[in-house]
Amino acid sequence: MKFKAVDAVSIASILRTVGEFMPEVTLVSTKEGLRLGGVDPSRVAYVDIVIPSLYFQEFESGEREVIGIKLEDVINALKNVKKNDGLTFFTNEGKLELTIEGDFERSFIIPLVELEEPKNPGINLQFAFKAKMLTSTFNETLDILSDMGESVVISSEDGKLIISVEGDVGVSRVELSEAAGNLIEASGTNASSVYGLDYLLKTTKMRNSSDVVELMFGTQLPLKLRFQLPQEGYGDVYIAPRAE
Amino acid sequence: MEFKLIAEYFDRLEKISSRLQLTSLLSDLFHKTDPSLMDKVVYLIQGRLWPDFTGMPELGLGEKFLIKAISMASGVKEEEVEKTYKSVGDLGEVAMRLKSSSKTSSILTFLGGSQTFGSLDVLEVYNELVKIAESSGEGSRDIKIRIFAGLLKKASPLEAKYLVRFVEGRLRLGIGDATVLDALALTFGGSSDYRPIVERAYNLRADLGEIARVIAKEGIEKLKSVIPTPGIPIRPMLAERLSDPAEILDKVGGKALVDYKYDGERAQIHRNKDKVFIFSRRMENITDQYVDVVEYVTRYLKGDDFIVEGEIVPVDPESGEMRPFQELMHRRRKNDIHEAIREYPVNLYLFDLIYYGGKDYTVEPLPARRQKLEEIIAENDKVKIAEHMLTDSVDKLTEYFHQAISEGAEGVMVKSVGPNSVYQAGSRGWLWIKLKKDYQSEMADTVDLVIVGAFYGKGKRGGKFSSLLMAAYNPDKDVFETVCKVASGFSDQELDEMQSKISELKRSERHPRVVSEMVPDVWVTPALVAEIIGAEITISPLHTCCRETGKGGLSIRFPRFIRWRPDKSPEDATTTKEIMEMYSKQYKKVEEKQIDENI
Repeated sequence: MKFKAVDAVSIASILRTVGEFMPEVTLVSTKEGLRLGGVDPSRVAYVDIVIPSLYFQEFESGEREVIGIKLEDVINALKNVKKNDGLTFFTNEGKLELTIEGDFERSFIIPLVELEEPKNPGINLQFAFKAKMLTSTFNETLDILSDMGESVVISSEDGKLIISVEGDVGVSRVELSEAAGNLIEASGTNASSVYGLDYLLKTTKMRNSSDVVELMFGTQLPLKLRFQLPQEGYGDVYIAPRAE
Repeated sequence: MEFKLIAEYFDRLEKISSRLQLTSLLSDLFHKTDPSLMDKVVYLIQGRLWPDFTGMPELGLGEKFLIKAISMASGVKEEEVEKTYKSVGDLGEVAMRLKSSSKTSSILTFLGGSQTFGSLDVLEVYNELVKIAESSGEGSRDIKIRIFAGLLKKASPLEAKYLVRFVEGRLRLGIGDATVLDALALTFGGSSDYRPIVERAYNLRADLGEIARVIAKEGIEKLKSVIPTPGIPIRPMLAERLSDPAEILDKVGGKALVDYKYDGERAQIHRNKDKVFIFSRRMENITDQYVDVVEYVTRYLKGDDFIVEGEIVPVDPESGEMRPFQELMHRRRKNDIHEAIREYPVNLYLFDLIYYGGKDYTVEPLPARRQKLEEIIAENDKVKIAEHMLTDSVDKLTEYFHQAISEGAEGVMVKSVGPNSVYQAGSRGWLWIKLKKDYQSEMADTVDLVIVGAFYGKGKRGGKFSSLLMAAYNPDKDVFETVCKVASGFSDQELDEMQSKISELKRSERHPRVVSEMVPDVWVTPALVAEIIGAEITISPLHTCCRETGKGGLSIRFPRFIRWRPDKSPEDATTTKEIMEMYSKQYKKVEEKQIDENI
């Protein structure tokens, strides 16, 4: 497989996000594009990233190619990428060749790892509430609530989205709504669930790859975060509810 | 093979203390074990992922991180987990309770993928634990926690209990290596008559998992052809102890090779092509602490396929004179090993050759082994054969003993040179007898005892552990029998060290391998060995050591702590038989003294 992206920062952020959840990942490429993700080792979250071939400046793939990468290796190689750097991934004889084109060209050769190909679980969840917002709004909300406690209550009340954390010093609560202008869209019925704040915070790096995030949840249902990517790509993160 | 089976057997094993029953139940588990997983199952029973000598990393998940993982797996807040832990006192039990009572929050439950992941199997558990151990570098703590939480999430409550205990290093099964050997003989030989074959193989290749794998896959006959393998430690031959030079010479057949007994670190040195391995008396891989010795071995010993044994002795960098054993501890503690090498140089004194060029020398008599050792060594200031002499004279032995003491050695080792003077790996016998300087005074003979319980102090030491219940090892029964309660001899620093050591090993109930009538404030898992000295050995109704004599047990009067013995495992402690021998000698001396006085 070979693909070239014009925005190295965006690809790096996607990989860093996945790296927050798992140490290794399987990349599956088909003519349609690239898919990566899996269940995190603690089985609390499931990540599913789909990047269509049109997202890339160049994209070559066989019918179906599967490779495993150790994310730490790739993330380390990408740690100094800049906004306008180009990035090429190319697999060759059990190795991943990675080239960053910017002020000067940098190349890395990273060994591939043998991984079991994850089976994509069938997902059929009916969420009670959905809200769409800017990824920056979502990140600011998490920023306000971080360090306040370990679990976050996400609830919907009369079309409003309420995100709150109960900590030792009290309760922090953020209310978002279409009327207030901080939700782009919101629909659904009242619901409430508790999630691990740690897991939500792991998604904040998607800010560099995605401008809009859709949040979906229901009472005692997972939280689904869909980070929209160009060309109808997406980064889905599902987080299991905590039993409180 | 499902991990559930292991957890169920662990649960049953934990509830029994009879060694016979333990062996029988363990044998039952071995019968049900897939031969290809035999090594892994044995390691899990031993509470480890691989033998210590491999130098592979430990799991590296402390109590705090386990609490986090239990919280993630059970969906219960960390504070709640901690609260339950405080009331229950056993994290394994906590994991079991919380798993039973809380709803699981696995994402797989919602994604319809649960059938892909099924129940836990042994290989999966083992591989995930290996991943945890091997995770290193930035962010590895988080990964370790999450991998373990994933295992717990998939585990049943009972499986979770033993997974947590395994990671904590507190399985509490009461199974020692001896019981595993018995169970292997019973399973694959049909009776305990095969125990010597299994034990011999284990003594020559001290990797219980590997021995179990060979026996399960290739049968018990295969074990007969096991010979030492460079890279896998062999269990060291041990010496008996006596204090009368005439009796010592008599015991070894009248003529003996007498080696200086150096106050250093006993080392088994293996060379396999370019690789050199140094193993401690407890068969830990200590190669990294002695890179200078590695260089000496490569440079001054001929060949690249051998196992030799010797003593690494600290020497004064200025005078070259021998220094006390404790100086070697700096090598363990120093981060910069090269600085430690400069500050604490060592000499290597070799005294045996166990294997050379494909040939097993353990079956050869000592003179043949020494001859081969002399052939391959190019002696110099740093690497020598231990100072020695051949004698059949009691006077010369006594004189040589004093000479050894005056030169900084601990005493001498008197070794049989007869045709049967083979290397008895893993055994303590009369082919080697030590004569140490402390034997010259009245019970100035120190003993190495195992801590099995602790008592809180009063007054200045209030709230702190200040005395220890000590036990000797009874190898026949594979148990620890109490000998004394030691409360003096500790420095402030040693007292502080004691608090943390005991806290790590304390337990609410008596360990199944401990035989005691005295009930301490806290019981302690037998793991720590301390050197103790006392005034004399007396009969005591309170202690259980040598209780079968019919006169009550034996105990040490006025015991005093000398030092920790981290180089010794509990099974290396002074045996109950040795305590009895010391008592008999002392008794005889008193009788002789009374006769002298009467005359």
